[in-house]
Parts: sequence; structure tokens; C-alpha cells
Amino acid sequence: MTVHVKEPLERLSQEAPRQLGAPADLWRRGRRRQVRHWLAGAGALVVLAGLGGVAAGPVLAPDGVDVASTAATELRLPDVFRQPGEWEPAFDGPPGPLVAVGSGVRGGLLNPRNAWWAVSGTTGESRFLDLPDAVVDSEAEPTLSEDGRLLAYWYTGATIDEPIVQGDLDPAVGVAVLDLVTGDVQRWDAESPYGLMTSGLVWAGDVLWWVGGDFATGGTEDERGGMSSARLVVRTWDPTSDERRTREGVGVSMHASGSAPGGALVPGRDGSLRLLVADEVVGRIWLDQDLLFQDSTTPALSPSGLLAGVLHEDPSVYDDAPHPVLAGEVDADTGAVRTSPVGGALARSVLGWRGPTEVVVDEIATSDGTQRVIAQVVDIGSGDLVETLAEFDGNVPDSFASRVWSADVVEAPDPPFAPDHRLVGLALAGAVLLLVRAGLAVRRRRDRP
Amino acid sequence: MTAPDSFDAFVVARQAALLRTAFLLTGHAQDAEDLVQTALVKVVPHWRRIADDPEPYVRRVLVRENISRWRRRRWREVTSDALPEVLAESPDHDELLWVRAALAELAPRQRAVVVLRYYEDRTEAETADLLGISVGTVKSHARDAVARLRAGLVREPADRT
Repeated sequence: MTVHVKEPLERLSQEAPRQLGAPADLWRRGRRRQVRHWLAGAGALVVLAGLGGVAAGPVLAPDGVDVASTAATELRLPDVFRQPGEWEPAFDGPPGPLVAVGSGVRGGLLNPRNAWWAVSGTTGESRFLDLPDAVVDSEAEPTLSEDGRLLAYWYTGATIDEPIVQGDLDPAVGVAVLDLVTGDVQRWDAESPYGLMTSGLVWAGDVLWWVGGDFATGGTEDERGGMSSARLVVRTWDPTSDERRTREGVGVSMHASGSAPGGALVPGRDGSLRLLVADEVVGRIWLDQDLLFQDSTTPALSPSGLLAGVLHEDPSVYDDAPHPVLAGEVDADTGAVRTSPVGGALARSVLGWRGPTEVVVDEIATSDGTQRVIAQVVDIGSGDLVETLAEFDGNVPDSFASRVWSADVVEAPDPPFAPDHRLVGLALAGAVLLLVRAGLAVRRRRDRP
Repeated sequence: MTAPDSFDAFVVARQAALLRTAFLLTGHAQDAEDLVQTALVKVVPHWRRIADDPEPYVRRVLVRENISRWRRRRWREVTSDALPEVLAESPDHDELLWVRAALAELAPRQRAVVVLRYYEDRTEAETADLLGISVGTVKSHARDAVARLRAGLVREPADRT
């Protein structure tokens, strides 16, 4: 039978055409086909990775955070203040009272971007904050109220004229206050012609003090040489009553502040500290030694009138090095305070008061070759280290709810599983390709006669 | 973009043989040319790797591409009793027409098995490897295909009388 089939096949094959086109043409077609396939494959992968990355967010988002439904919830002090990883989610809706706000970096499909993150005052969980139109810049830090319920931040938007900006950021045009329990946002639009130079937000009880000013035009960008100037104005704002005032003749600076019960400490222009309560400057504190002003923490005034801070040995230098911790009692009549070292205690700053004679300070600790900032309790009477309260994983937050330092400590939850969405997208793209190939293989088998 | 000499030499030397196999697989001269051209275009990206001995790879692509084409086209093909081309007026013209028609009635994979086993004298293992199927499947395809061809052979002379 074999011979019988072979012979007619051979004779039939003689009817086949003899020649093809030029080999060079075939080669060119092959190369073009290769390039087309490569581009199509790369494009498909990019599209699939993009779709996968977009889909990965909702898929990988952990369950929502339990948030406080009332303002009466007591703050809790987490044992870890953790900066969220780039791909961790943001709070879903109003987060409830917060104990800390800091700056971090949030992942994006194309580029990472700066973002504010916060630590929940009820669960201790760290997440990013989706603040509408917020300016994210080290010169425009948000600030938390004493009870952690209100968050003030600079927001950006349209200016009346061409904006003058520092760096490549959108300029601030006003201040917003977010009620972290209800989610309500109030705004104070400064109606700035060129944008605002930001110089500080400070809560004094329920009243926000803020300092900013319109950028001066002062010549061309080249003539300004990258420098900007503004006439700074002090303003107060009670979001509850919506009373807004511009304060003339109040000689205070708000580039940094210290905590005080029901108010805040800010540096005055005459070298004294000014105690702000509500919308008034209620007192001055005269220092016998220079204290370091740093962020929204140090120095700190206790309910009983004790002032604690760290010594600023060289006023020309701001650094993260440890400084001697000083404390002293403020004279209720004169406002004078005589500070003295708290044993041999050294700290970067004083975070707040935990008890009548206990201050919380932050210091750098080294364990297993890794340096971390920790919050420690120091007794100002003995200078003894009482306990380590918490540690900071990542950036130290820029603002704290000052009541948190006297709150009960709770264990912070573990970070959620939050892989790079781009890698998840690529993995999904790979899985889809494998599934397609498997489907084709199955179809091939099914089609076999 | 310039084709390497080895590619030129291979095409020139083997195009006739490839076209003969392709003609048996497709049954049409134009389809045979298209099939061989497509197979050669498809092997270009792999040429550096196969340049030492390209023929097995080219033939593998050839037979598989033919089956893939059939799969892509079958849903839109219209069955016709008429054969579109006229064979050369050879003395055994009628028999060749019948052989071509009989081959055309086979499914592409069966046709490929017949061509590889009985025209190219490949072993069952080689045929299985080229088609990406098992030896057992090659055996069953060969048996069924030959049975159908034999039935046609017996029937055809009677039809002609």
C-alpha cells in the first residue's frame, strides 16, 4: 500500500510551482514581521500592566479602617508610628481623630509623588491621606489640633494672576480645615494674586493661627534669582464659629511651635515665648537659656506650669543631633523661667508631657546595626529614663495631636500587604498571556481530526 | 536588513522541494507558494539559531502553518466540487486529478501525515515530532487516511468508465 500511495504523490508533486520570489524580499518581510510582533507584544504588555496596576489597587486594598463615629473617642498612642509603604492605601473616608501627620512618598504607575500620611488615633493604623488640593511640601506642613480631630493644611488652586511659585509646586492659595470625624472641609481663600508664601499653621485650642502672605512681584524671575519675598500676615480662624480675623501688631513667628494645654507656644520677636490660647496672646515666657524650636513639638508646657525643651547651643545651627533636656517652672506672675538640665538626658526634641513630672522626648536608638528614632519617657525630677513608649518607622511625623503623649499605649497593627501595583500588573499580564497560550493549546488539541 | 548568504543559498537550493511538499499539503499552486513564503518569513527571526541546519525547522513551520491556516479559514470556506486549477496535460492527468481530490478530502493533519510518511518517507516518530503529536496519533491518522485513499482508488476507475 505504501508504494501504491507514494507513486501518485510523487507524480502529483511534479505539478507544484518551481520558484518563489527573491530571498531578499522574504528576509525583509521576516524582519518587518519580527518588529511588528515585538511592538505588538510590548504594547500589549504595557496595556495589560497598566490595566493590572489600576485593578490592583481595589483588589489589594485591605479592609477599611474602623473609625471613630464621635469626637468623644479617647486618643490612643500606638507603639509604632509607621510611615506607610509606597503602595499602601489611603484612609477610606473620614479617618476619625488622628495622632500624627507626616510626609511620605506614594507610588504611581509612572512616577512616585509626595503625599501626606497619618496615624489613626483609634486604631494606630498608618495610611495615606487624600486631602483635596493639598500642597505637599516641607514648607507647607499640615497641623493637627490638640485632640486630633481637626487638621489644617494649605491648599492650592487658581491664582488671580500668573502664580509665583517656589520650586515646581503649585502655589498655596489658602488654608483648609478638615474635620476628621465628619469629613467636612472649610476653606479660607486668601484671594491671592500670585500665590501665598506659607509660614506656619498653629492650633491654639479650637482656633487656628496661620501666617502667610502674597508673594511680591518684584521684577522678573531672573531678577529675583529664584528668591521670593512676601509681606507676612498673621490671621486667626475659629472654624466652629467661622470667625476670621487679621491680626495686626502681633509680633509672633510660626515657623515652629510648642505644645501647651489648651493652646500653643510660639516664638516672639523679642526673644520671649508667646502663649496662645484661643485667639489671644495670653502670656509671655522669658527664657534664661535658648531653647530649640523644632516642628510642632518642642518646647512643651505642662498643665502645672512646667516648661521642658532642649538646649539650643548654637542658634545658627538646626540639626538632628541630641541636645541636653532642660526643664523649669514658669513664674505665674512674671512669666520668667529658670531652666536646668534634666540629669544627663539628651534628646532631639521634647514631644510633650505624659504626667506631672514626665516628659516624652525623642532620641535615636541603635539596635542590630539599625538606627531608629524612639519616644522615651524621662522623669524631670530624677533625670531617669522611665520607659520607651513608641518607635518611629520611617519619617518622623511633622505634627502630633499633643494629647496623644498622655494617652494609653496600644499595639500598632501590622502593615497591610501592599506590593508594587506595577509588578502586580506585570504578573497579571503574564498570567493572562499564559492563559491565552493555554487556551490556544487546548483549542489546537480539540481541532485535531 | 540584508539577508545573510546562508538564507539566500537555502531558499535557492530548497525552494523546489519545499514547494512540492506544500503543493501536496494544500492542493493548489498559489496556496503552496503562499505557504512556503509564510514559513520562510516566519523562520527569519530564528535564522541565526537554525542556520547550520534550517530544513527541519522550516518543514516543521511549514506543516504546522498549513494546519493553522486551515483552522483559521475553515469557518469561512465554501465547499465546492470544482477544483480551481487545471493540471498539466500529462498522460495520467485524470489519475492526478483524482489523487489531488482524494487528498483534499482528508483533514489537514491526516493529509500532512500522508505526505510526510509516504511522500517524504519519514518515520512515524519523525512525523509525530514535526506535527507535534504522538506516534499513536500518527499511526491512527495514517491508517484512516490510507483506508480512505484506498476506497477512492477502488471507486475511481468504476466512476471513469
